[in-house]
Amino acid sequence: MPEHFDVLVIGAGPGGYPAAIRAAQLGLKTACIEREKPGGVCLNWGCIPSKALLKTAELAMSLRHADDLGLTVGPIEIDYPKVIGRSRKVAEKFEKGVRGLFKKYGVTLLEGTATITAPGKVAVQSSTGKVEYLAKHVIIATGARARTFPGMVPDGERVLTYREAIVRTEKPASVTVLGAGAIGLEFAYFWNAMGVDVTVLEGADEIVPVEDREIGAALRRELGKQGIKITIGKKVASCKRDGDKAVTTLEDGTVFTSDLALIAVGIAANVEGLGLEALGVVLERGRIKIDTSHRTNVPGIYAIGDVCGSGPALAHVATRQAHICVERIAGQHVPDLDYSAVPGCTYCQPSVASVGATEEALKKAGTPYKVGKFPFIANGKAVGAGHPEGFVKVLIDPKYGAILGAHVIGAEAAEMIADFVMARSAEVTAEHFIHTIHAHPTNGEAMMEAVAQALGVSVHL
Amino acid sequence: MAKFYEMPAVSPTMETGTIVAWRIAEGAPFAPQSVIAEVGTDKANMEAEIFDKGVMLKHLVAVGDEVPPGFPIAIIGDALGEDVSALVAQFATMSPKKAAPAPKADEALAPAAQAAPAAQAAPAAQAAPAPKVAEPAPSLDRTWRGKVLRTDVLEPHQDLRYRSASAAVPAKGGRIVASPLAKSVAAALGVNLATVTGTGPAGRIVQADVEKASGSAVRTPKVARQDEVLKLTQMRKTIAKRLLASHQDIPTFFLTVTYDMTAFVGFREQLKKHLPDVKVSHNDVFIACVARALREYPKANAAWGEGVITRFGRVDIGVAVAIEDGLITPVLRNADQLRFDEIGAQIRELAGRARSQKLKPEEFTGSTFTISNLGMYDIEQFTAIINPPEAAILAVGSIAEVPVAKDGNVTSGWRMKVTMTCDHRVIDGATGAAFLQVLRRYVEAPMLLLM
Repeated sequence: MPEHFDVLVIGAGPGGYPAAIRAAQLGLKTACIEREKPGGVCLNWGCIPSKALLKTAELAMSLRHADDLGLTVGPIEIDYPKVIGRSRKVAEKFEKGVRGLFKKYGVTLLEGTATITAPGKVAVQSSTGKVEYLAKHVIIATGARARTFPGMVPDGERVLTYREAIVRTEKPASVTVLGAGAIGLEFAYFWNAMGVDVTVLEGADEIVPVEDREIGAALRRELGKQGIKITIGKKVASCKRDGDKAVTTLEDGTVFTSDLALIAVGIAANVEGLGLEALGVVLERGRIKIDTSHRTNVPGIYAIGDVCGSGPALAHVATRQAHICVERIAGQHVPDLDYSAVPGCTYCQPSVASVGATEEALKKAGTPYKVGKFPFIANGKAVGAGHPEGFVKVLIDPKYGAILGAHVIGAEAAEMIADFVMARSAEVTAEHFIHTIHAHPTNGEAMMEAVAQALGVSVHL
Repeated sequence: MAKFYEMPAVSPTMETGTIVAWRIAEGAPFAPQSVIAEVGTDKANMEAEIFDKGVMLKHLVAVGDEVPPGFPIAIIGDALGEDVSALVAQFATMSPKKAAPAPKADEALAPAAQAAPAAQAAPAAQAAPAPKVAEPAPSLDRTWRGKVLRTDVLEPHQDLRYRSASAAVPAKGGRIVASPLAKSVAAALGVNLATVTGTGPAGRIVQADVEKASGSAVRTPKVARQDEVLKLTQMRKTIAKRLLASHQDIPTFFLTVTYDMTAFVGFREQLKKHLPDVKVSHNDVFIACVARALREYPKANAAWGEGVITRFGRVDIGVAVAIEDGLITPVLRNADQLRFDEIGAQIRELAGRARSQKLKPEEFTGSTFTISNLGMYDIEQFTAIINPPEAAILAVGSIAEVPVAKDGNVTSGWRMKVTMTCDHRVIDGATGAAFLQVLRRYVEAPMLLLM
C-alpha cells in the first residue's frame, strides 16, 4: 500500500515550500517533492544569491565615489570568483534553512521528479527508483525557467540565462543583456559595477516595461550615467554563440558582439513532464489555469506560483498563493489575493519599486486620478546619504482618496514600498496616509510628501 | 494574591512555546513590564513580558518544556510567602495535552488563540474554528510523526471558494470594522456600514463590500478622459459678459418664418453657372437680401440707447464667425451697397483674419444688425442672442428639401427657417413680422436684388 498524504506539493520553491510548511502547521500530513534544491530558483539561483552580488556591486559603486564622502580609498580590485563564491554560500545557507524547516514542521521531503499518474496519485522518480504516493490534494508548484524567443540560442557558455550567469566564476569583459526587466537590469548593474562593458537591449519602448513610464525613463537616465549602454524599442532577431563570442543581431541589422549574452526576456512555466496532458489539466497561455482557490479544472489538483496562470511571476506572490491554497484546503476562510496590492521591485541602484496601477494604465482605463510627486533631492535623509536621485510618484483617486498606484525610484525603493502596499491592502486613504507620521529623517518621508503633493498640502516642495 | 502566569501568545502563529530560559528566578520580585522568560516559537525566540509588578513564587514548567499559549507556566503573587499549594494542586490536574484553559479576554484577539488546533495541543474537535467535514480518508493514519493530525481537511470536490469571513468570524460586540476607504465610500454613497457584510481579513468591511451593499456598481465611474479646467481667454470673458448682459437685460421675443428657397437656390445656381470664377455662397446672397430689406425697412435696423431709439442710416451687418474657442462678428460695412461677389470676398477676408485673431477693433464693432447662420451645420432652426445695442438678430437655418403641401398635393420643395430675436423695447411683434415679410420678398425672389 503506497503511503498516503493529505497534501503533496510538487516543487520546493517560494510557492511550494511555504505551502508544505503551512499544510503541516495546520495538521495536514504533508510531503514536498523537489527534483533539484529546496528553495527553488528564488533561493538558489534567483532573488537571494543575486542580492548578494548586488551588495558587492553597490559597495563597489560607493567606493568609487568614496572621495565625495571624505574617504581615500585606493583602486578597487575585484576578486570575481570570490564575489560569486559568497553569493553561492548565501544560497546554500538558505537551501539548508528550508530543509531545517521541513524537519521542524514534519514535512517529508521527497527528492526526485514527480509525475501525477492519476488524480490523487503521484509517482516520484529518484536515483533509487520509482515510488508511488497517494494524496488527497496535489499542489503543483514547479515554477518557471527563462524563456527564449526564436533566434535566441542559449548554449550555457556564451549565450546564458540567469541560471548559468549567476554561478559563472569567470568575469566577462563585455556582456549584452537581452531584456530590461528586473532580472536583466540587476545583472546589468552588477556587471557594470564589476567593470564589465554592458549593453542592454529592450524591445519595448522603455526599460522596466511593467513600471510607470516616467520611472523607466528616470532609471534609464541614471543607469546611462553609470555607463550602461541601453537601446530601447529595437527587437532582437538573433542571439547565438560564434566561437568564443556571443553575437546578437537586431532586426534592423545592428550587431553586438560580446564575451557573453544574457537572455532575460521573460519566463516559461515548468508544465512539462507532470502528466498534465493525460489528466486533462487546462493550460492558459502556457500556464496552468486556476480559480481563486488555486484549483485546476481537475478536482484535487491545484497550482500556485509561476506555473499557475494568475498574477505576476514573483516569489512573494507564490508564497501568498501557497497560504491561500493550503488554508482553504484546511477549511479556513481567507480572502482572495488582491493582485492590485502586489509590490514589484528591481534591485539595481537606484532601485525601483511599485504597487498598483501605472499612470498609463489609469489613462487607458479612463480612471480619474490625481498625481503627487516628491523628489529625493528635497529629502534630507536621501541627500545626506549621498543618494538624491529618484522620486516618489503616487496616483490618487480624486473621489474617495484611494491610493491607486505608487511608484518609487531611489536608493531604498524596495524597502519603502511596503508602506504603500500596506496602504493599498488595508484600503488606507490618502488622507489617512498623510496623517501617518513618518519618522524624520527617513527616505520614507518622501512617500508622505508625495501623497501630500497629490492632495495639495505638501510643505516641503 | 497568588495566580497563574500563562504562556503568552508572543507570536500570532505560535501553536506552542518552549521555555528557553527563565529570566525571573523563583523568589525574585519583578517590576512592571519585566521579561519573565524567553520563549521559543515557530518563528524565533521571543520575550514573555508581564505588565504588573510582583514576585515570582514558583516555576511550573522547566526549561525545554513545550506548552500551548494560555497554559500556566508559573505562579506569581504580590509578596513572598503567599500560599501556592492550591494552585500547585490545580496545575497537577492540568496537562498541555488536554485543552488549555480558556484564554483571557484580551488574548482572545490574538489569532493564535483562534487557530491553535494542532501540534501536541488540543484535539481538533475543541480548538479548530473551521467548518467540520465528514470523515477522514480511511486509509489515512491521523497521527503523523507523533502529531495528532486535524480531521477537517476538505475533500477535493468541496467548494473552497471564499464566501464571507462573517461566517467564520462572528461580529465582535457591535463594533464595525471597516477600512478607511470603505468608510469614505460609504459616506459618499450613504451606505450604513452596520448593514454591510465584510469580506476582508477577519470580516473587515472593504470598499467592494460597501459598493456591493449599495446595490449598484459604483466603482469609480469610467469617463472618456479627465475633467479639464480651462483658464478663461480674453475672448471668452468678453463673450460671457456681453451675452449674459444681453440675455438678462433685453426683453426678447422670437419670430420664426419659413421661406420658400426654390427661386433662391435657382438664382445662385445661375450665378455659379455663368460666373464660375466668382465665389458666391448661399450665405452671401442671403446677406444681400437682409441688407436690402433693412434699407427698405429701417425699423428693424435700430438700437436701444440711453432713453432713445436709434434707427441707423447705414446698413452695417455683423456676421457671426466661429473661430477656435469662441466667436466674433466682423462687420460688413454698407452691406446694402455691395455686390454679391464683394460680400463674399469681404466676408472670407474678414473671417480669415478673425480666425487668426488679427481683426482690428473697428472691424468687429459698430454693426447695426447681426446674422448668425448655422445652416452649413444642418441646423434647421435655432435662436440667437442679440448683439447689443442692436435691436434684432437673425438665426438662419439650413436650406433643406422638404415635403410641401401645394394645391392639396404633397410635393417637395426647398425651404429655410429663419428666427428673428427682437428687442421688444425697440421692435414690436408686428414690426418684426413686417420686416420678415419684406425680407421674404427678396429671399423668395432674389431677382429683385438687381432692381
